Amino acid sequence: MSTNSKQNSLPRMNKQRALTVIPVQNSEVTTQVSSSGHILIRYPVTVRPWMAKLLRRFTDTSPQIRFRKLQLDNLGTNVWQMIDGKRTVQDIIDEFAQLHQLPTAESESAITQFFRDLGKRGLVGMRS
Amino acid sequence: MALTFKQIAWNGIQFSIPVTWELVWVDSRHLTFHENGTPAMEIKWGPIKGRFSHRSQLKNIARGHKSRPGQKIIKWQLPPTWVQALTSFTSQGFCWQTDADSGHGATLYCSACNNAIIFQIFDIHNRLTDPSVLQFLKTVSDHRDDDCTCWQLFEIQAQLPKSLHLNHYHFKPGNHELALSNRSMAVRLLRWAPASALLAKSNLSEFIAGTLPLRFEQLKRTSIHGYPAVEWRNYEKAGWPSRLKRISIRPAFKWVIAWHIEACNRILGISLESKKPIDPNQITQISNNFRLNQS
Repeated sequence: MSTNSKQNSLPRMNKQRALTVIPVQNSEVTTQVSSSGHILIRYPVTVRPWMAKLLRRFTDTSPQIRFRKLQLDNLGTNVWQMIDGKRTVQDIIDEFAQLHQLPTAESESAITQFFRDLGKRGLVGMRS
Repeated sequence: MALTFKQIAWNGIQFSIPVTWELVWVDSRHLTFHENGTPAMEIKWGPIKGRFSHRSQLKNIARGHKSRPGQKIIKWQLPPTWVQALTSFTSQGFCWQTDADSGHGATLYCSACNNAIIFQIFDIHNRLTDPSVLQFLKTVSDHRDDDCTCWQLFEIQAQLPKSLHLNHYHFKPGNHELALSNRSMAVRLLRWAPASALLAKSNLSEFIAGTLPLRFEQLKRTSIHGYPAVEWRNYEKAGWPSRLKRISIRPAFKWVIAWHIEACNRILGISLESKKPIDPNQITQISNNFRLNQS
């Protein structure tokens, strides 16, 4: 029996529709551009209760939120800069493919994987 | 509107399909194509042990489809155009239908190489008279007259000796690799992209040294087909240690060559490993027949 009722209640989305959604950056994320031009993302993560308990015991502090950092390479930086709340996933795929002379299928595979990774970290959301 | 086709060649089989058909599944003897996000064509092939029978092949397919309720595979009379296109095979048609989907295909047997092919075209009512399907049928072949096997998938296009068998492959974004071997030699064909990003902070030698991995100082700058290239090989040394290497299980002789095609923003590479000293003609022959697939 499935325990994830929230996931089951989500409507099924086909590939064509999924590519028309607009990625949006998390407003709580801060970015910093390094001297090499690469972006460093600083994002908040909620501390799990057991971890908070452990920290309280050993460090005498109980932070509810901690910050993590993610260093993007030049390709990641390119894509991050394309997330402007206007471009759709398909627009970003096409632009990325054109910019790097890549086949659209390869660009699609790279971009969707990148968005999946960013989504897992809560750095981007998708707006239909 | 004129249809444009692309050539596919993989593990002994080759055919043409419309450029709009996208490859979504690759296995050593199984390919699946989609068109606009929906299944278009699926093909499987392999050598036959013993006698070939269309009936037993059909039974095998039917067995695989039992898990799908309401789907029954039945014999299907191939259209005359299909029969005409498949004259080099003995063929028999089959079809299945559910409420949502349908498929029509055929089992093909080539007596010249004792290979069987099973393919199915999805949503046949839109594709039955489609010239793309007929083009696929006309071009499908499972053997060549020369002693070579063609490999043409995604951006890799190569023609290699038939004795080399597929070991592993991956077509990850940015990195494609095809690894083949026979009893004495192992070949890896590599493709990296986009070169501008990969070489943004390093040169070709540093990139290859870091990726394969090799010692940077040992890489020699050269050129291949007019492109800037780097090369590394371990030369045979005189004396007993070198002779002993020849009887070791691991290949003792290695040759790596990689070149940067700036106009296409790609890096291509070949890695060759052998138990015997590598003949320079061998690597020249492989590099001459390995190029970027731009179809």
